[in-house]
Amino acid sequence: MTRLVPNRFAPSKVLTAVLVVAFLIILPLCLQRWGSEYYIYLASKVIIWSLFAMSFNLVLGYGGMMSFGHAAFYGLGAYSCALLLVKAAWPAPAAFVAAPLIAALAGLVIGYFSVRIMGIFYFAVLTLSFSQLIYILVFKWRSLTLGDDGIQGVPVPGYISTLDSYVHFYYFALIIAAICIFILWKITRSPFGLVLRSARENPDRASFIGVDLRRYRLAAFTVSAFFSGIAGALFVFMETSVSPDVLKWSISGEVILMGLLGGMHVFPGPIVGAGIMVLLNSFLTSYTEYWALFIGTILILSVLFFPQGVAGIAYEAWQKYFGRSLS
Amino acid sequence: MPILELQGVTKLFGGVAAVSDVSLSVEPNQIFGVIGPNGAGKTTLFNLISGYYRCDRGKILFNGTQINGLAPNAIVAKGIGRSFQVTSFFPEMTVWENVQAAVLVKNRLSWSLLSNSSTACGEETEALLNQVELLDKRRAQAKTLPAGDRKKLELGIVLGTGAHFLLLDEPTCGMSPTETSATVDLIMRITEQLKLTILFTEHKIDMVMGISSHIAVLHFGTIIASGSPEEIRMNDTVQQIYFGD
Amino acid sequence: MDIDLSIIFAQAVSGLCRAMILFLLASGLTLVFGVMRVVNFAHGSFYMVGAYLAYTLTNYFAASPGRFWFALLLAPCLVSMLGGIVEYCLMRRIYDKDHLLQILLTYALIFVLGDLAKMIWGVDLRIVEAPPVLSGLVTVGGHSFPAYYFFIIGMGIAVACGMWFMLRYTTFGKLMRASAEHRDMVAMLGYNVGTIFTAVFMMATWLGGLAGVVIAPTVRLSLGMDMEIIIECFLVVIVGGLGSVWGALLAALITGELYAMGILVLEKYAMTFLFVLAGAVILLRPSGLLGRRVRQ
Repeated sequence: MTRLVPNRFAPSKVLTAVLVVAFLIILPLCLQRWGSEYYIYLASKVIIWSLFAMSFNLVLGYGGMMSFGHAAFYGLGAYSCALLLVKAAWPAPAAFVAAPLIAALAGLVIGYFSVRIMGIFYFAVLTLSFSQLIYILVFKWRSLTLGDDGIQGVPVPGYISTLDSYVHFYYFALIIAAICIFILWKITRSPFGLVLRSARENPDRASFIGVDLRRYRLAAFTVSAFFSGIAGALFVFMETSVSPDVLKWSISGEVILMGLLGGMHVFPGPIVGAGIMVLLNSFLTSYTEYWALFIGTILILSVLFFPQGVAGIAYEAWQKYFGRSLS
Repeated sequence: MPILELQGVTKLFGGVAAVSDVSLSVEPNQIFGVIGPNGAGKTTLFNLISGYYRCDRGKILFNGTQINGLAPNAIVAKGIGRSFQVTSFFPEMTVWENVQAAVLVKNRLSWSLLSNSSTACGEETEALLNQVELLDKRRAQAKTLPAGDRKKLELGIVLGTGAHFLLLDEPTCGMSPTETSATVDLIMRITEQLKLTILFTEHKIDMVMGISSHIAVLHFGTIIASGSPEEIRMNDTVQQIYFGD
Repeated sequence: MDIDLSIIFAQAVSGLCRAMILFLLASGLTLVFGVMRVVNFAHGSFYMVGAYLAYTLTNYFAASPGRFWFALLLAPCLVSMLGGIVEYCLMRRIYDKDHLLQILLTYALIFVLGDLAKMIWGVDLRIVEAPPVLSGLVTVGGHSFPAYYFFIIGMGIAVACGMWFMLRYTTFGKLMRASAEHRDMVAMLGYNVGTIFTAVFMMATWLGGLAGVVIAPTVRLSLGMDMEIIIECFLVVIVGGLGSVWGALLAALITGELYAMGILVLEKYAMTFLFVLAGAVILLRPSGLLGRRVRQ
């Protein structure tokens, strides 16, 4: 692998990080001055989906499992948070902690059955089915969830989100997401992360070094469900309402596409994917109601021509020019 | 007491016995070779011992305790390591990480979620890489390694599991004479240093004759001869199969 | 709690009816997996297209009393042609690729076909009427059932028999079974495996479209119907064993009756029984009731 540019010209990781952080902090202020509230809302949405996509990628990119039912954890996180705030009148911090725990519990149960089943197809079908079950249950259990009317008017305290502008919420979401993504990053660099990766790259070899594949996959699944639940809770804080749409099967599809588009084997890949998808969605839905057609087509094109994802390609280019690894 | 014992082990695939009523025992520190024509059941035998397949009949005892029926990862924990005919490793990870993964699992550190893996078990990993002569290539991505180094890597991974009984499935498969003798030297050296027991299969008869202390001949799933290299060389049935017809 | 036998009988018949619906759907799905080793996630979409085509065709032939029968004949064939196009243009390219990519492709089809249906038929609910000869009631064992139920049951039995005959006695059936086990061997014998696959996919989508037409008079057609029933269909296929048509039949029967009886106990949430069943099967016999063992 030849380097085209000597090392000392490669931007250091620290500098990149500082620039990114500065950008993220200044962004809403710039948008407020020169843009509109809507763009800050959009930026917040990107943060929430980035967190969701990053936690999903623990299972996909690192665990090697394609779950088609992650909407369940996102949605359960959202509904738990909303219900605890509205019906049980819990204080916001308590609801915010409980929501991902409930999502993680669901992850444990669903994961327990899903990792036992041998074969990638069975896994996909089962995760999709569980997610649909939860969707249907939430839909039908009107006495609890108000069905497809959804839950409106969720009380959100002022220190999380203010009524006049999304700026306050943006910073709240940014901090939470940053902490969560940092934890996810630590996990991927930990011994657990390494062994998880080995289980993905060569399951047989992993068994033969003593890895109990099911346990590791279940652990990854549960952790992923936890952080997806946080993303769902953040969603509720932003929208102050929730409807069964958060549990729809297509949500699972969108997060998969984010992982694919952004690149699942590069750690920050899903963030890129989330950004692309949220912005595209915002742009396209103002022109057409056929967003699903668009998603489906992009997914098909990605599968046929583009399996490594955008960030994956960028990563390879980076390696070629600077001869250093990003992760 | 034998370190590994097979008693009447049989494996059926849809009615056909790939391995039929095989009994053998391996003593500690032996270098035990299994030879036989293609399709004789050598790899099936290894899959049975390592837990990848379940025996339909018979027992497998390791250090006196029964291991047939255990999952592969449980068998590894008991000290049996396995290498494959087609080298099996973790292609996207670096050489260092490949061996380190095995070491981490062995030391039960693999459930640590928040510590930094790059520094964990560093000394042990380094020592192992040194032993298999791959220390200078530790940052290379495993899939970029040439064939000979891949074998060494796999050996390193197997040693990383802390195994003291190694199942080596054609360790010099596809190698030139020079590579073969280098690999053989490496294996012999490590066996000597770490007091290992080796059970291996090979097609290169001379090599097997040269290094084994004990040989079993497998044919159509049954053992037709077993003994020292000299005894095998003299054995009529073996001669018939290999040099007759 | 007084549940008299006649209610149980009524539910049993209703369960049988549901079982046949599930079988009609699941058979196509499991067939594709059995022969081509691909899960067609979009199977529900073809089913939905079949149902909507039934709507369009019955409207088109509104003047004729036999309009439902025209739809029954034509719609599955049209769906099958759609299936052929999809197979030829898209699925062919991914057969030797990663399984993950294969799943994604069929999954993406759900989005595409769903929106195409939205474009053509819009979001309003549609209704397809049962043919006049079947729209009455039939009394069996002291209970009145819609005559249409028995049509469904009959169709299910007909399809099961047809499949049995085809798999056993026709060349194509044998080729299908051979391709499932030994794809390369079939190719080496000179058969064009690609054509076989296309044919299998077209047959599976034909079955899906047929299911759509058959079920149409009993439900209100909506754009969510592709995913509504697909879960039960998936569970039936898992319980029966991916790839086994008879497993699908057995599982469909068990599922249909379980659901019907479950309604007596749990009313709205009878679906959970299915998941309990699926969970039990996964734990105890992961390859399904009649599926092939995946691991030794």
